[in-house]
Amino acid sequence: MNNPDLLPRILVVDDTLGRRLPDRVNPEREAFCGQFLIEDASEDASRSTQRIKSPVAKAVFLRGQTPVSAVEGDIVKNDPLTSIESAVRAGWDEPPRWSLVLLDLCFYTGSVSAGSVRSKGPGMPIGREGDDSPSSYFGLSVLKHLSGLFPELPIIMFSGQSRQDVSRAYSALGALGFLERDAQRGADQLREYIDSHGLISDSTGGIVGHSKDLLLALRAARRLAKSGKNLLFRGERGTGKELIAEYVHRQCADARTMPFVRVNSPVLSNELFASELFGIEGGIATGVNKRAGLIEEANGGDLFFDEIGQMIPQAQAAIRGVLEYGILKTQGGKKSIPVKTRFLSATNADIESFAYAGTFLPDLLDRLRQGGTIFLPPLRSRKEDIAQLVSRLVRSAEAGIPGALKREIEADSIAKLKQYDWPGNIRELQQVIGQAVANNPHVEHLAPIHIQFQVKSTGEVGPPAILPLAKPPVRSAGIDSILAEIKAFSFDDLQMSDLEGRLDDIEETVAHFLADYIRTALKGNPKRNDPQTPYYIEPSFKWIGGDAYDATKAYDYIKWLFEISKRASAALQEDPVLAWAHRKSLTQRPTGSGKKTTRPRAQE
Amino acid sequence: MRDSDWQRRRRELNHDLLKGRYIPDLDRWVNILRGLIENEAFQNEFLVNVFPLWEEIRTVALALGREFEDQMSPRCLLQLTPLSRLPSPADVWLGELVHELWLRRYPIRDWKAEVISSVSAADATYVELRCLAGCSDSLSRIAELWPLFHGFRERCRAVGDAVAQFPSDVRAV
Repeated sequence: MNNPDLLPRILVVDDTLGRRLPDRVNPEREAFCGQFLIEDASEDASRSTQRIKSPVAKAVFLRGQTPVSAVEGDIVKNDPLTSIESAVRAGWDEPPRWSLVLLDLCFYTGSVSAGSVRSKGPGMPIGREGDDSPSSYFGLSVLKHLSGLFPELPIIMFSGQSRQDVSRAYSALGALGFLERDAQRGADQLREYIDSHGLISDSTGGIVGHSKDLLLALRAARRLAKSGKNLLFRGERGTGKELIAEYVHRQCADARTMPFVRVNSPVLSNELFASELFGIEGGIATGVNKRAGLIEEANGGDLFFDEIGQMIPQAQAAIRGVLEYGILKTQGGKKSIPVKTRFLSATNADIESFAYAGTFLPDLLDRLRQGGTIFLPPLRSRKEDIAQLVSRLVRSAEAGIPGALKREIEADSIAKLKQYDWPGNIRELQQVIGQAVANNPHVEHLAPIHIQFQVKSTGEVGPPAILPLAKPPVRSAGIDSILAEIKAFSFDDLQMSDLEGRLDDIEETVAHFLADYIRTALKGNPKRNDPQTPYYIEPSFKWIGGDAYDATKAYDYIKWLFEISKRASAALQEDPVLAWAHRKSLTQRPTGSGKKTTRPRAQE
Repeated sequence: MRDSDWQRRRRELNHDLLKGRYIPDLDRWVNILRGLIENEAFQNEFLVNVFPLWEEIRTVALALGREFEDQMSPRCLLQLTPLSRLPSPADVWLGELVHELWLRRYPIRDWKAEVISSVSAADATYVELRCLAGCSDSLSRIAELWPLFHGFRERCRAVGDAVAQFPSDVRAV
């Protein structure tokens, strides 16, 4: 963990470790930090010269008693529960948040005397009757109070007292585990607890944000990833389901060597799905070479199925067979191939209603979510992440525009972005930022005036996390109705004042519409094992436009797509699939300086 | 009933000294030897002031094992009211009877043997380490001993576990 900001921040509530000594470092705390490889982030930590090279976490210590810095003659009392609550709340309602709380069981109270100092250390009382009795541990009262107020706060009991005496009580009160003070492999065990229960950001930086909702989703992903079973990801469009599937994949110890293969379900047509998913045996027809299918390619790793709600019934039935028997047969093949592939599926649809309506196989759904379901929060519920996301997106947009200046992000801009509902979630934010930078490449500030939303903000709470669809997910019906609606649309029906100066907007919309179609086609034709050329361009165009589209026409079409609208072009450059296709097309079909590409026609 | 002197001494050994200070310091020392942390002050202090605390732990642990039978036997209840009012010699024979029954019900002497054997095992490693560390002229040479220090830490933990086996109260039979 190289970035200190991403180091898990834990709160340790413990009478011995939390106390302060007026003239020197707390020796027990320093020993604890050295034992569990923790960086002391308390106010008085500067007294210690101890340096942890690769800390597991940084910790703030709370005594939970007054006086915090007791001397001989003082009477030590436990804090009211409300005081401890305030300290916890300070790191829960607002970032930086506690990743985990370590809570002691036994808090010694009473007078600090020469005898107590001799046996328990400076500032410590000898303890009163009941302080170390399992039936009256103060730590359990604190646990009960905090669990009631902050049910999602991960609390681990931390004590040198017997675990067995209190295991039932702390489990019932919501603690997630028990870390023994003399735990063998203490640092490793703490690391495991943080991984399983802690609310921690993605240390690779792949998923940006530290909001509670996001951290809870990441925790669910880490927990469920461990089972190695199939998982289902649910969330609105643009919430990052593929990113979290990749995050699940990275949780495997040998993720670097394990395959991660993506499939976009809607492009698996009746003709294509068998050869794409199961592969094809060589020699079954003239010119057909043996090729492994996507499921076999993902053998020993993960297969990510996007938009499973739009998978055709034939593909559903075939996949169910693989999941049931763990074997597949290539097209034209005779032998069964055993496969051990984890299926990571994603949908933004109300998939249960599809199963109920008979358009999605219910037992396939059960198998696809055998290991659990992970819900991704919409952007409107994690607005505190917007600043961090915008920072990343602005830098990325600037990098994609030659000559674009590096800009500061004004606080007013973030405030404006936070007021919007974001129905298209992070993908929409990416488009808005891409457009803001593309339209204003030569300024040093991202100002509110640069931000143009794609949809007017309603100020209302957005759609539910899982959007139920009124119609069953038959792809052709959807596109037919959209096209029919556009054809039937007439500008005559609008006020003339609404039409003034809208040509750019219309061109931009058309470009996005076409781009989405082409992107989908490209993603449906992945070229495997070649990171330089991840997609087949010509077959993609043959698929959407017919055989008349050869490679030349396909390259010209992509170049033309990027010339339709200046505004759209900037946003399309942010899309890794289209940006790659554009670069490739420019290389294959260089355009002379100042020349415009004409839209190629299939019949030409 | 307030804690007896034996209970108090056990708590001080197990909770305060072993789990609260000595084992964390041994872990910290192992982490220094493994190059995971830097702490020059502790590094200079450990072999001189911290490590030898074992000798105190050893003495207390053996005493606790030895004294448990006398101090925590239900025979002690005869010294408290109302049983303390029993006429002599009834208090004597009743005390012996209760003690014998208690010894039959709980493996007190096995527990005591476990304390002795765990202390012996830790002590043997301690003596070996003192000798090896004393002969080493640099931290890098001592660092090679970290697995042995880790083993010593585990043996100290076993001493704590052995002492923790004794019941925490005076149990009637």
